[in-house]
Amino acid sequence: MYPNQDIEQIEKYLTNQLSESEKIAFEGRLEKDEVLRATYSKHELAHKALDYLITKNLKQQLMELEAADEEQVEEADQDNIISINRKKNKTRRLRWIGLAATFALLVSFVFLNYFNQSSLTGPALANSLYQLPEASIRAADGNPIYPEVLLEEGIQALNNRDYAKAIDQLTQIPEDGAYFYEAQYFLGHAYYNSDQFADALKAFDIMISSDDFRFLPDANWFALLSCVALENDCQNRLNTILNNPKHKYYNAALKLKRQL
Amino acid sequence: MTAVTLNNELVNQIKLGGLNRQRAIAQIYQDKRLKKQVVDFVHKNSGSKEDGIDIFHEGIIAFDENVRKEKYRGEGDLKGYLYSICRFIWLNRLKRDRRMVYTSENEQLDDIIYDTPETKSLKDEQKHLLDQVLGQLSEKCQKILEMWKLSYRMEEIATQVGLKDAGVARRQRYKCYQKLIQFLDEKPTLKNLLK
Repeated sequence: MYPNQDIEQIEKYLTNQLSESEKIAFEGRLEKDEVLRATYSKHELAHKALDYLITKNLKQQLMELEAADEEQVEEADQDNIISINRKKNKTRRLRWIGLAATFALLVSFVFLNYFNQSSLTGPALANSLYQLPEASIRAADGNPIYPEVLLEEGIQALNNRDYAKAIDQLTQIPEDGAYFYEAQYFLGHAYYNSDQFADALKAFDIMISSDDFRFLPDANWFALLSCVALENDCQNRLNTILNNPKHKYYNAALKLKRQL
Repeated sequence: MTAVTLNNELVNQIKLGGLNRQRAIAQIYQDKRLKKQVVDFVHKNSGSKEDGIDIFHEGIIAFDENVRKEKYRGEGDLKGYLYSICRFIWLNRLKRDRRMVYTSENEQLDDIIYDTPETKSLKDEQKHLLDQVLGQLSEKCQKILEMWKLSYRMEEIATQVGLKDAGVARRQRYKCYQKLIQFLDEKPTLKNLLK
């Protein structure tokens, strides 16, 4: 076998790309061929070094995730302590303001029913809170991360408000494709802006099912808006956000809750 | 989705590498219940909370490696397997450090390395030499090689690292890989340690 073919075989063996019979044949050659064995050792060592690099970086990433989690828990605990202290002070005053609060509620009820001609529900409510996010994914240096043509063109169409084209491009990305879940996120926006709320909800839910933490908070929020636009029961989706005070859309969800 | 389907999906995602692997690992990491089980086990066996978290991380790392090297193909319950790895790592660490172990669990998992004081110092030396060799490569080269080893596509590598296209990434990968082999060749001690 020629040297380049040997190296190709070695790399395939080290990356488990050989069939069982090919592996056995290769191992047989290794035993007999000293030159091949020497070359193999070098490549094997290189792969072990890369395995070590992967392990080291994964460890670092897990530690960073852990540190970020602990920071969130500490801040949430701080908020809880502050809110508990505030509650204690409030209890004394509650009795005195009880009557005033009841009166205020009655007035608000009358006001809302007789003077507020534009109480929002369904699509109108969802649209009042919807904002198309910046539809691009870029690396720190500003270059786009996704060179995949369909995804890029789909995002471009979304930015140009050509939602039909965006849907056409993004629905072509196959389920086993590398960017399927990212495409679902942008597809959700394309559907939403075409008033196809059921399809939007489905697309956002697919994105949520991937558990990709880069998009999860946004997908949760826009899935919620799609649900509201459909006038479905969205309490569980709302609670998903409201149960996490650090959620990106926590304040927006509070605002939505007041209006529902 | 059944547990078996979920098992297989996570395992397949890790094997696919790239972003799929990242998602799968994130999903496993976010399993708070499993993490709590591991931390509780470590705590009941002479460990601190920090030890428990460290073991949980070590378990995920070992699991990831086992899947990529096809030592675990999705047989049995994934969470049970990962929990067993964590338990094994901790018990061996206790034995290595000669701390008392109040448990009768003595399972052996062939794929997990057993650390004796001798192997631990050997490992530290290996790590030190590997750090030296990898440190000789530029950060860009390290990134390219790591992503290539994790089965990222050349287009993804090119974009992440700021190269013109997949062809340039392919050539760069080749050069970086040759450099790595050369630097490793210059460290014969490492070759013996890693046998």
